Amino acid sequence: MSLEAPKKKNKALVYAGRAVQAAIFVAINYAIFFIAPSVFYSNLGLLTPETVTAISSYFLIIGSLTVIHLLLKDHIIGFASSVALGIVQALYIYVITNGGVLSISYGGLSLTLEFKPLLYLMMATPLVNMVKQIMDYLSSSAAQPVQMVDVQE
Amino acid sequence: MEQPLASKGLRLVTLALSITLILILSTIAYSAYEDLAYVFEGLGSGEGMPQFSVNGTHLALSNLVLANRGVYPLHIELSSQVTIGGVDLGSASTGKIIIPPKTQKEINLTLPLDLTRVYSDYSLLKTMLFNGTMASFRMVVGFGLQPFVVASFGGGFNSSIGAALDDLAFRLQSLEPMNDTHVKADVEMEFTNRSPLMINGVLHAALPSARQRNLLYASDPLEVSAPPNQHYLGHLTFQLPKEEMKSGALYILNLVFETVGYKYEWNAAFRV
Repeated sequence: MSLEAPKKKNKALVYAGRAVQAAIFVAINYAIFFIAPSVFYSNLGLLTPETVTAISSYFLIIGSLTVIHLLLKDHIIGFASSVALGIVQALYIYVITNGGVLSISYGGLSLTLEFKPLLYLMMATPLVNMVKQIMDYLSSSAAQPVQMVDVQE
Repeated sequence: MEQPLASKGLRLVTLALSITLILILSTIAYSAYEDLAYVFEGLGSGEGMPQFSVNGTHLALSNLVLANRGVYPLHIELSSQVTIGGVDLGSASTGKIIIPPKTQKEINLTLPLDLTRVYSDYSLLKTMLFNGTMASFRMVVGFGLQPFVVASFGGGFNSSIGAALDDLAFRLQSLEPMNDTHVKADVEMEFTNRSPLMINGVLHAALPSARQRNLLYASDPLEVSAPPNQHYLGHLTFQLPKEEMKSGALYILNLVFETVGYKYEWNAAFRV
């Protein structure tokens, strides 16, 4: 019993650290994936209820996956959420930018903005990160010690 | 546990992508700011601003000077379309013009106007002959910072077009005796062609007798050719019995104007 106490304390500290890390990342994600698009669309006059719903929904998913990924780093669920996070972030960037084509109309004037190369560059970052997570997980799985059991006849 | 080489490499790739994205976004923002600042400075001072001119066959935009003060090649494409009453008169495009960084180019756009398309619409041509109308100019400006951003800005304006037979008037110019019974009446016709349309046609005029029903005195057909924005003077000559012309009387002319296969009939009055 006397040996169990420090282990629990360490575990609590680890999770506390991860919680702080998760809070910081959620705050960063909030700025990038919620505030930035909201301000951008609001300034262009394109902030429709559908856009607000899309931004909020994606941010909730991204926030949740970030928290799960960081809290359960050493678990398969943490790994799965990190992969899902990369996919959702890339998808969100694509959806929120309307595939890299934005159009504004005001009276008889219209402005169309196309930035597909930039969009692909923006999507590449979370996707490359996702590949890295998969490779990390596979290499850490391969490095796990294998317990040999002697079979006696 | 040491990270595998591939993982380290991917971490570097992620970092490089993020840095590249930030650099590109900041340089695009700088270039867009510099290029837009140039355009707005030009708008303020009037330098490099284009001049529009319209004649019967062409609409021209000239002397548009654009400078690229950014770091990316700037491409620009102007296209324009003119319609009158929904009838497409013509469209043109400059094609993609690329302005390398720190250079400037003069851009000209000439739009051929096929005004004969108006002739296919009877009511529209009638409107254009006798009343002012509106021409719609639609312009699309495409520009981009290669190879990252492409924007297109579309807008239009309406411009009033004057009547082709504006201020059309008839007046008795002279009355000369031909013989004991008849006189030659010279009726002057004048108008100003305030449209961009070249007016070509034949005018037939007839003067109903003041004394006898169903009797018309016809003049020789008058060939009318009036370029845009020009004053036109023509003469109709009638041979009439002496007693038909009475000083102070109001006469009604029956007019038929034949142009491109259509006939327009109307009446006009003149006083002796």
